Amino acid sequence: MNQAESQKTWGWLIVLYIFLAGMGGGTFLCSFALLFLGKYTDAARAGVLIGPLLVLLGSLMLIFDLGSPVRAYRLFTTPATLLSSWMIRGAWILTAFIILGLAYALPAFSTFQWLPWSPASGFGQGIGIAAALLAIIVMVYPGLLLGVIKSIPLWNTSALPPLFFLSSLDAGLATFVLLSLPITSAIGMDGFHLLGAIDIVLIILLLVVLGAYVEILRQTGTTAASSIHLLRTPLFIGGVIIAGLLLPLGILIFNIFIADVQLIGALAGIAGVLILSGGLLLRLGVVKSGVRIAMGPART
Amino acid sequence: MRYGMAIDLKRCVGCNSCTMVCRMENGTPPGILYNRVEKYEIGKYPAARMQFRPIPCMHCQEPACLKVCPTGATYQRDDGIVLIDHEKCMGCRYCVLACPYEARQFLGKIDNYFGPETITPWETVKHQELDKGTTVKCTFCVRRLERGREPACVETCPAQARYFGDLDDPESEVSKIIAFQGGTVLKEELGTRPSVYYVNV
Repeated sequence: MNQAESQKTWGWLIVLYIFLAGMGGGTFLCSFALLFLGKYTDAARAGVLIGPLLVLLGSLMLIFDLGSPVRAYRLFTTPATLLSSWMIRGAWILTAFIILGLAYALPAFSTFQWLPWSPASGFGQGIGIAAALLAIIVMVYPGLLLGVIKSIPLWNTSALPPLFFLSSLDAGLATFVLLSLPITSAIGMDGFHLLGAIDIVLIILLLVVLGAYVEILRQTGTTAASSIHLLRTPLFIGGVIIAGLLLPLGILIFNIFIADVQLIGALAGIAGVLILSGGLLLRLGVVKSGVRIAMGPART
Repeated sequence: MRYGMAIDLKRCVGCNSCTMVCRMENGTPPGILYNRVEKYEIGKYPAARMQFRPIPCMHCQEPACLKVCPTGATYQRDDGIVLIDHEKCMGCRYCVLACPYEARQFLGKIDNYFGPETITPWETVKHQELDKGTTVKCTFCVRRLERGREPACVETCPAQARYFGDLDDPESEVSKIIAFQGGTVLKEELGTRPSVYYVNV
């Protein structure tokens, strides 16, 4: 097979942007759900704050990536392009999420108690639900940003948004577990077991969706197949599939049978770091392996 | 009125005169090409031969680049020409990815042809027209059109492989060439409806 040339237009900063946006959205969603259920509230209050901050950091990556960052304000002065471009839709969704997410999270901290609402009030809950819905879109949206590019089959597939959503949810859960580690007995043994069980299900789903994604693309056509060829690197197989999914899966299954809270916490932490690095490498692989459909007869 | 082009691949000899005159006309720095010529093999041995295909911007009627542009920098004129307003472009390069013809490039830096110390008088003038940090592409030489001239590549082609004119006028030379010789467009399946046609493919 000819070694096809992958796109060089978007690189690391976009990878970081979509990773941090997904991770932040996932962290917020997981933490908000736990707050809603009244579980592990200490760690969850930190989670709903860290989520929007991660998304903010990701948005900064996008701005650094621009050729003319000073013109980024135009994203908010040209609403007409909302009708067609996922870039500007994303910018608005991210901004709305950051504002609402912070508005929900901040009043719980003493420095911001002057804010006239509390997270537990009806208004606060309303903001929280709105931010949680936006968080879901933030997690799915990178799949659409890339997915609407018709000339790159690796991206132009409906399997990409669910893949990014699940991976973001997994990254969010991992971030939550990592956040809870320094807060002594924030989630405890039951928590590790419960969140571990949820994570096991998530990782299995992620393996299924990733497998389906790759298999669909293998059968789509020569361009998609050459993208898959580019994906088949030790970094992707080792970093994403083995270290990012299978190894954490093994650790979390092993954790079910452990009763020592110190050990279980340490192992869950290791699994969390592995999941996060796997999520980053997954996006790196998808972005960097995008190959354009060739024009007519093969170029020489 | 819709400007369009027909390129006769039987006439094209792959000399890249269009590429060079385009560089002259637009003052594009090294690494940036508004027009390129691809070469590929057609037919089967022993009847195989090389064919050349010049690729300018297709000035699509349904431009993929226009749809994804978040700042309204890319726009389409009533005569079909797709242009970039460099004052509005923030350099996100979404359009570069969206264009199926790789007609767009990101102008990340402006180098000189003869090293950083030597800038020619031509470059001195032409580089002022370029806006670093934005996306650039073929404009169908819109400023020549305004002066009643054809795009530089059309005028200069020694094999007269390029025809330019109004696609809405069935009597124009370009329309006749497309009608009688059977014009095809690239990647028709993507629904971009290009205004650049190829004949004798």
